[in-house]
Amino acid sequence: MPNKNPMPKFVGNFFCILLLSFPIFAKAELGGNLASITQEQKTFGSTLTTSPQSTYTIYIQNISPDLVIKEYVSNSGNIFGVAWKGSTLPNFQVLLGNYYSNYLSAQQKNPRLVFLRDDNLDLESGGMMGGYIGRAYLPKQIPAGVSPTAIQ
Amino acid sequence: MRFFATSFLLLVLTACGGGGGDSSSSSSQNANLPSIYLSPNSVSVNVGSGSAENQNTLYVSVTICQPNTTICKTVDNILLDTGSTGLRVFASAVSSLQLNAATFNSAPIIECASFLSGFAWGPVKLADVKMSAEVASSIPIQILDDPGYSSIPSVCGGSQGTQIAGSLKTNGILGISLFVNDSQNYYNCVPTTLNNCRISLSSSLQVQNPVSAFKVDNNGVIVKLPTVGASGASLVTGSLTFGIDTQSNNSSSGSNVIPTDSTGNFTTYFNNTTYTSSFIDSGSNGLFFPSGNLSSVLVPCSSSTVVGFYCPSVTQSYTAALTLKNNVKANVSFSVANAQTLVASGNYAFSNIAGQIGGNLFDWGLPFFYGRSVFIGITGRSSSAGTGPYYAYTN
Repeated sequence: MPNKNPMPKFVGNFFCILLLSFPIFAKAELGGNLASITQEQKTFGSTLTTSPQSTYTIYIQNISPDLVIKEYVSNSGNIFGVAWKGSTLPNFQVLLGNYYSNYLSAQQKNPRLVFLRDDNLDLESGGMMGGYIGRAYLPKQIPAGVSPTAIQ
Repeated sequence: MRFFATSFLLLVLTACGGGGGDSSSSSSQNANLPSIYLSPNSVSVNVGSGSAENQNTLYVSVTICQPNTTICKTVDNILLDTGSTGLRVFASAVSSLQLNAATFNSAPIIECASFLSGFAWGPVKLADVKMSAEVASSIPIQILDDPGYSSIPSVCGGSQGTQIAGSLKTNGILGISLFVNDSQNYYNCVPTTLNNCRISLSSSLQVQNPVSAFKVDNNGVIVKLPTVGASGASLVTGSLTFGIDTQSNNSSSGSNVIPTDSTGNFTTYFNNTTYTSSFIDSGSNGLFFPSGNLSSVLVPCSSSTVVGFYCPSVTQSYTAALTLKNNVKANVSFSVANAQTLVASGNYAFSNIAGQIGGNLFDWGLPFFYGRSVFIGITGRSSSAGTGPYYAYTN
């Protein structure tokens, strides 16, 4: 059908913009806030428990069949670290949010030892199928007095 | 040399480029490393250039058949991986077979399995899996790069190039781990959201360790590789033996037994540090541990072709302690040479290559296997060494 009218093209572009604005998975997580955890919980279909510490709170999600994700939220509501352990790896696109591209980049450089350490992001992922373990945190956003070793 | 060095950074579970394909069509020198029948419960295995042309890749051949028929295909150049569970093979390597789909509620089962190097997306099919005289009858295996499932959902990495099929250069992966089934994510449709049509499968319906499904010799395996010298070797040949203490050739007598927790981990003591997440993985092509306070000696390689590996100026010799039964500790000596220099040699088997990893992980990869017999005791199965999960080794 000949395109007599520029309108359909415009509609097409507009639709694309809408899609980009609403990705399938909620952006959140590392560097995100408390509200994003609630959204993430719906996405994962997980159960959520909390473990309050003095300067932060750990939000723990249990995801079927066998994956535990911990998110470390400062008292000001900022997710400064995440840790995982389970038979599968977590969905890093959801868990790492804006830092997912850093993960993909590290994985591409050396897939068997996903390891990244710089001023802005520390990411370690390892283990075997059935026993994966790892963590990621934002060194500049850890609350004062909290050791990175707390994130695990 | 450049080619080898470039391929090196892509470790065994990901290798580089390419994909499956019929191993018989490969033309490069030394590319075919078929296993040889050694005894009713043992076949040969190799570390060489193989199809991946990647360092420290352990190859085995597996015969895959339409269940209860003699219509079979022997696929060479399959990665032997004690760090994953189940057989995964490229569709192109078994295109001569007609394998029926495993189903759930009358719909084909599709799996999304997690590897550090990426996702494995593909249908689950039923096949007889044979090695030496051992047979696992009609077990679920995963098909990689299946043309019928080329559209990969976001939940399994989507189109972002995170599939192991895109980088794995072997014909598949034979996962003979401590576990019976793989405990990964399964679906009976192509999911549009994270939990859409995700299904819960009982152990026997999941992709599973073929050894655990053998009629006999099904309590574990022994991987034996010869010693490799300081400068490496171009090709080494060892053995994969099925069963532990079930035949005259698979005795665990005199071995050091390492019981593990339910996730396959034990504790390594090294450099005054305790590594509680230690494991033995033939699918890792180096020893991986944090450099800690050795970081001034175990410097990261500067070349982008060996990212993440250690390049000490002089070869370093170390001793670590592994935790055996009854909390007895056994010393293990190893050395770390300059990875860039090793790779430049053009050899493929190296006992002294190591790299960076985080947390309290200590990954005893393929270098640990050289000069040893390594026992993998399957969960819930017993031998004279104990009840799995356990590792054991003899020097």
